[in-house]
Amino acid sequence: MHPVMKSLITGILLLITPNFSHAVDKVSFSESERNAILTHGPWPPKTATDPSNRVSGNKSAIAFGRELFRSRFLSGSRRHSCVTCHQPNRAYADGLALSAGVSRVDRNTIALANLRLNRWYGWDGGSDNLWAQSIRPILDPREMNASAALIAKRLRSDVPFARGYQEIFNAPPGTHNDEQVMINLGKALAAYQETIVTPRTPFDEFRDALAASDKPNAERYPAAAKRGLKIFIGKGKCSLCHQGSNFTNGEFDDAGVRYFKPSGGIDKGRFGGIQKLKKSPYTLLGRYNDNPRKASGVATRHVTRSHQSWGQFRVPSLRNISNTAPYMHDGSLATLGDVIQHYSRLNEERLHLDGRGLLRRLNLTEAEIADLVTFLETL
Amino acid sequence: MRSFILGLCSILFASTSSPAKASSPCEISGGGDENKIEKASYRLVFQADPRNINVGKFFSLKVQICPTDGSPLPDGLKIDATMPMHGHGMNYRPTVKQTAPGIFQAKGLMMHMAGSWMYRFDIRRGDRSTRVQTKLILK
Repeated sequence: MHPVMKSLITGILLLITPNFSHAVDKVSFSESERNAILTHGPWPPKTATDPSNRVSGNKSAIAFGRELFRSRFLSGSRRHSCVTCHQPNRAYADGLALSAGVSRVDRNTIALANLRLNRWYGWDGGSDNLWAQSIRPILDPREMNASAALIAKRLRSDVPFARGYQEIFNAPPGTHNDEQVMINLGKALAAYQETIVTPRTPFDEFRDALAASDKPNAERYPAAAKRGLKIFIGKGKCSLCHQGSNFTNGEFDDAGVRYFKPSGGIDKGRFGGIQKLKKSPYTLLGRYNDNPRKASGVATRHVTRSHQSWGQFRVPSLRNISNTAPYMHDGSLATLGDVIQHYSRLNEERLHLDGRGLLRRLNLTEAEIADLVTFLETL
Repeated sequence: MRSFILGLCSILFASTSSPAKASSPCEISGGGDENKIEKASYRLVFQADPRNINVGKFFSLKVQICPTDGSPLPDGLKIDATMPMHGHGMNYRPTVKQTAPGIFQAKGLMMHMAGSWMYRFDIRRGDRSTRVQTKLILK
């Protein structure tokens, strides 16, 4: 074939085949990369009921908790509910940079899902269990602005809710003191929230196909997502913190996001969270843990606060991440692309001296950023 | 997620070190894959429970320390672990109890990241402390 004709045909092919160069890209993984990928599954993992919550997994408690979650009964003014910030049609987040109940708070609403896998709750890990975390916003004057006394009083005089309570906790709310009523409502709320589990995703299908050496199914996973995954487990080092099937180590880190609160002052992050935890009567080491051996309290017993805890925030799960924008503890990054740009152009001077060995500016190309976004969208 | 201890090397910090012969076997019973370190006047043997340490999962350590030069047993032990490459340690402080002469039980250890970790054992006898370190790779 004449060289001019040959280049003309190639040019036409390039024009009619979108992303031609990517389409012919075969992305392969080494044995160690394959092993790293397999650690991110299988999904969903097996979970047990919460031993600290005697109504965890109880069908009546789940139904009652669901009703409470959607009801304005739990807010001081009866104008807010859990759903105000944790909206089911927004992946149990609210789409806002900063949460807003009675007034605006300084942190982004964390999407609720896969909560049985958490060791800590909240951006600062101020709670070590889901029932304590569930009553925290009810009592916070900026969020639902209620009190144990108010909620217990309301419950005792509300026939349907009082009946629901009695059915689950085997006693009318009038026989329990205000604090016990509050804790029990927290346990019903927790029982419901434990049922919110994200479904299997294209990544899970790929991961399982890889595990089974099922090439045809593995091939269905988009090449761009594979390239993004390669960066995620490789030079991006994302999987150091976003590890395991839930894509988080459940711990805390300084991601180089601002410390300053929009309302003024400094957000202490994990440092403040451990302070709150140590003062709280509602931890796994306390009397409201229904497990008499307090066996699940090992993390609380041994957690330690250090200067490194300043400005650290919980490493969030990346499951369903494309539906939970905006991102970071202060909601300061609007899109997944912004998050990756943040790490790509990281201000290393901003980080703790101790953190410098872990986080480095990634200097990713635009194509690499796009691939990482594509990968994250498959989670 | 399973983890495997891939490598073990002792790093001796104080003055000089020499592999000394033990005056006693210094073996933790029921073992088979114990980790052993010898430094100057000590042999230290430790075993994790569970045996396979998983990223993000709590574990305990049983440690036996035997003097190799006939000197008295240590009075106390502190245990920590760090990731030298990352410049951080564990987020948890283990508690250590002496369960028998020369035998210690540490609870509440948790390594929250895969990679190269360094165990740090500070052995105390009287007012002297000797540091013994050993590396492990967590996958």
